[in-house]
Amino acid sequence: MILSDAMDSVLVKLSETVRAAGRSKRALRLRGGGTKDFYGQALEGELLDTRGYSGIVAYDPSELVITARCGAKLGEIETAMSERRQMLAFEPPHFGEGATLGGMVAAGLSGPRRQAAGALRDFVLGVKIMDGRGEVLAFGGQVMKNVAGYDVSRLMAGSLGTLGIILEVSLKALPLPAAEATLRLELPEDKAIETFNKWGGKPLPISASAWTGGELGVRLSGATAAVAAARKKIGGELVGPEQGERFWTGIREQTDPFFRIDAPLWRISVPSATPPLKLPGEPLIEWGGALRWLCSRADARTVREAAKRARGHATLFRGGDKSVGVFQPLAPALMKIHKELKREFDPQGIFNCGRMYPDF
Amino acid sequence: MNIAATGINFLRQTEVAGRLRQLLPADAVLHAEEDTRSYECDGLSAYRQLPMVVALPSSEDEVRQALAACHGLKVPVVVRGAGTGLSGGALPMGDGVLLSLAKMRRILALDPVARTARVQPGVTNLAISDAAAPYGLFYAPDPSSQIACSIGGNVAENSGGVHCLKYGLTVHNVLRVRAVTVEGEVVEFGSEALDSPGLDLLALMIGSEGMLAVATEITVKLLPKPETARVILASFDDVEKAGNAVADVIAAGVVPSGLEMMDRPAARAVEEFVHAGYDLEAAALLLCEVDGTPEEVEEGIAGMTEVLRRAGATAIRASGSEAERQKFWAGRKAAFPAVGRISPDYYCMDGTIPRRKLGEILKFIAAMEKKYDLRCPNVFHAGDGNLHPLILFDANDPDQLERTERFAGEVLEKCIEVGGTITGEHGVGVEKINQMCVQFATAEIERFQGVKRAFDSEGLLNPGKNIPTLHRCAEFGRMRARRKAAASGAAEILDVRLCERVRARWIVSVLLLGAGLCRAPYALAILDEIQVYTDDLDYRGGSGLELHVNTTPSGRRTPDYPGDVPPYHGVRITPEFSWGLGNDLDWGLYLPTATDAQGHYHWGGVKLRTKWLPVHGVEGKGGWYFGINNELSNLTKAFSDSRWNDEVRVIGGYRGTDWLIGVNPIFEWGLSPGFRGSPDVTLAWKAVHDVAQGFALGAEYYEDIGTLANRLPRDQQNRTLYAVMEIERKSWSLNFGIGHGVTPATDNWTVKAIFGISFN
Repeated sequence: MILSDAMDSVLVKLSETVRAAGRSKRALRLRGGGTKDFYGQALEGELLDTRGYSGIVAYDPSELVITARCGAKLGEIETAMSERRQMLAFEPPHFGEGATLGGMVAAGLSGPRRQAAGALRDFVLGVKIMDGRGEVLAFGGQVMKNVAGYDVSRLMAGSLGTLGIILEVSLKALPLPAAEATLRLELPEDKAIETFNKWGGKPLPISASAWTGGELGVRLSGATAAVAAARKKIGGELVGPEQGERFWTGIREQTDPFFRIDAPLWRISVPSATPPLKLPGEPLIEWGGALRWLCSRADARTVREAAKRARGHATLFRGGDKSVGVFQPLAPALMKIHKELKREFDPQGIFNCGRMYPDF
Repeated sequence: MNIAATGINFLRQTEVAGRLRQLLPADAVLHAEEDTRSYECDGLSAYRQLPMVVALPSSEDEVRQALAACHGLKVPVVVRGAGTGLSGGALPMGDGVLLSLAKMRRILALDPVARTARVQPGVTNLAISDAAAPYGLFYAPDPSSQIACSIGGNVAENSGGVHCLKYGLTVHNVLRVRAVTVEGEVVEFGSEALDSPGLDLLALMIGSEGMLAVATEITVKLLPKPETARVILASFDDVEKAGNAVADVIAAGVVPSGLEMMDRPAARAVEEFVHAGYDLEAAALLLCEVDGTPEEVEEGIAGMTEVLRRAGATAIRASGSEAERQKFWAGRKAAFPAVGRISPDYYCMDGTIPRRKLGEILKFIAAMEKKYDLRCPNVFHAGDGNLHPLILFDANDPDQLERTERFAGEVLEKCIEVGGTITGEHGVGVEKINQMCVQFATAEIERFQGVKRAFDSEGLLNPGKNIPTLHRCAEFGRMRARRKAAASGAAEILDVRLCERVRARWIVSVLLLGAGLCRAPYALAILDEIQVYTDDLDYRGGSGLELHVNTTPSGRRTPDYPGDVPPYHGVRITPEFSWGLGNDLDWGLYLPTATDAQGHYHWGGVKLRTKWLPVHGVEGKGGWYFGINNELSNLTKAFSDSRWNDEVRVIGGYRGTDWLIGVNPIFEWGLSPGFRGSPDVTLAWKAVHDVAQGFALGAEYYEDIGTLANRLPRDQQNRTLYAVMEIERKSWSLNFGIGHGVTPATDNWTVKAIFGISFN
């Protein structure tokens, strides 16, 4: 109760700040733990720290739903869930100690388990946001199925704070798998992609996959019997549980040696069966072939065109010269809709301007 | 006038059909009633409206051209897939084009390696799984209508199915939607990769009920078919125990691929129909399916059996073969038609609640069955808390219909109360649009309208569905208040009964009211006559003519009920003839008319008023005045949802030598069945000051505060402040005002003028 009163006053203050910024058309830069400051186009505006609005609001494991405020630490949420043998199945990257729930949803990034469980946006059931008028709005809810009104909750996932302050989020939780095992195989890039897609067409309990430098890692998750049966079908060398966990954490948090290569990091999202992109630099393949990381000094045009040819898109994820545009440019008709939406939610244009696109 | 009995304007129909025939093959544009009749409703057949024109494009290019033409002609467009929707989302418009995508039914590509299928919107849900089956793949969402429903419709409604607990809804299984905007521009939401740059517009598009853009191509994800599946059929001797067992299953740590529940009445209806071998002594049955590898399934079945036993199941049977599994499911899948056999009509609800509230809501439904004396078998997607209670009734009995509506309304509002939602998978459409006002606050509805504007600034795609106008919510708030007031007074109850008895001919319109609650009662008649009554009176033998003219340059654009003429850009012209009867009494006759934003003319009906002003000053000197006015009206849908209405207006104020103040408390009743109850209250204020001989300036203020029994929250009230100018000459007068709405529910700007001629 005391906490909730304190949170109400945080909310009132946030609203005052937003209203004042709106009146003077002063840009605000929404920020939680700042662990993803590297991500996105530009950081503009006066810092507005969202960590004051924190805490887990509700968590009932039998409902498979957790609701928490934006400032809640992602680490704390995951600990609370693992105590009840549940997890955020999209395995979000933290990129640092201070990662918050709000930042996680705003960035919209998912980790290795995305290939099997779905992306962050698939797990968003409801949100409370503060729009550019300083008003608190609730969309979606805490239930699994809800089609009342437009799906504004999912729109917030990956919006990089451009539409409003994500105040509170309800996420679907899933049980931790009963068993997990990581296998290692040696395969060249083209064969690895082929193998990923072959596995993808079979009912195998694969929950993560990664290939780099001729080595392929695959993680099995599920019922004990199912994991054991799949191990036989896939073959390869069994990796110890601790080593396996370290490997997947390294991929998720980008602490794996691959990510230490001194070159800009591109994130290329393509249909899973796309053959090797044959771009200069070092690739790392995830998500059964659908996500291609590339450490490369190749020029942006070359990378973007390769992505486009494959019917995908490329993001300059880390480092490099951001003047080439961090995100793949949008078609004019889509950009028009983006700008109209921005105007509706943030009429004075105060939230995280320039973080996604220079003029958005 | 070119209005036929169908409500369709022939001139406009000829214009629109003619334009579309220039772009589409002749047989792809229908306008004759015998051709358009079959499109008058979707799966919610209680709502019917003949479309003005039906267009059947067979390619994206034709969709593009048709939309661009409709946009140019400012004609609203309703998109339709297979027409199996259960919320009236594809209900046509009498002044609109129905765009059927049924001809676009090709599977364009199926990639078994990347596990995707690219299909046209008219392809049926099941056809995708059938085409994928040879590769060991399937499309996961499986609504009960999957044989008939189209993937385009699934995208519009974000359809689920019995397996969405594990595999998700449409939004989780669609990668990309290629669509045409209302302006005729092609856009792509999502991509064949797992994500796309920018905002997640794909998520907005899915479940948008055809209000944002028209899908022309959809890429879906295909999943490997599970090697095997088994289902447990568990019996419980208590419904609440079964509800708790559902929570236990989920908490046990394995997500079943399906977890369904049925109560005894539903099980009995089903058993008679398909002979699935259900335990008819059980109070409730649970169907719990596990799929995956054979090892996984064995482990899962063993675990579930244990959990269910501990939860108090009285009998547990696991399917031993694929045939038996199919048999167990056949009963569940046939639940709706089975219930259809035991009752002339049934009303299917679609609320979703947190699972832990299942027991509570079941008790509530049982109490409602007693309260309304109607049976209600229950079928649930229990695993995700999605309820489909089926209220059994006979639509030919108006009394039952009325009770069904109230029953359903109470259940939906209970769903909101326990933290759930009014619709889990069937959509809002026209059916649950009133309950949107209960689930969402004003600011949230405004943001929804903003989303709509971002895609379709003129509101031409499927207007009037999914998102209510604030004005409609205000009217609905009044209706709810009336209902509550009605429940408390004996006289009101009598009134309700009377209303029920004469309802037979209102069946269709009453069903339009939404899930059980009465529809917005009537658009406020204040629009035809914006005036504060003062001490003006025709004396014996005198007569006069006043012409009331007003228009709304900025305000509500979407109709509040079928047939409503929204104020935006419309002009209302109402002549008022008045005669003095003597003894401080005069009477007047109004003939309201309206022209809508498209320039169509609407006849409004007749109003008759009697004014009695016993207290008034001496001509030329002023003084206190006081009186009362009664106005009886018979209005068309263009002006009011209720045909018969009555208004009582108290007149009071003071006239000084060069100034006047006045106030009118106005009470307005709908007299037609379904619209009765506590009256709407409007307060009208006026203050003017003469600045020259016969020339006055001042203000008028109109505040519509809700019903007598229940005031509306301020932001849902209609409040308008007018700056007015008055000219008074011997034989004529003018009152001119510019009004600004001061609440979000009010029209932004209204301009009014009253020209008066005296024949004394």
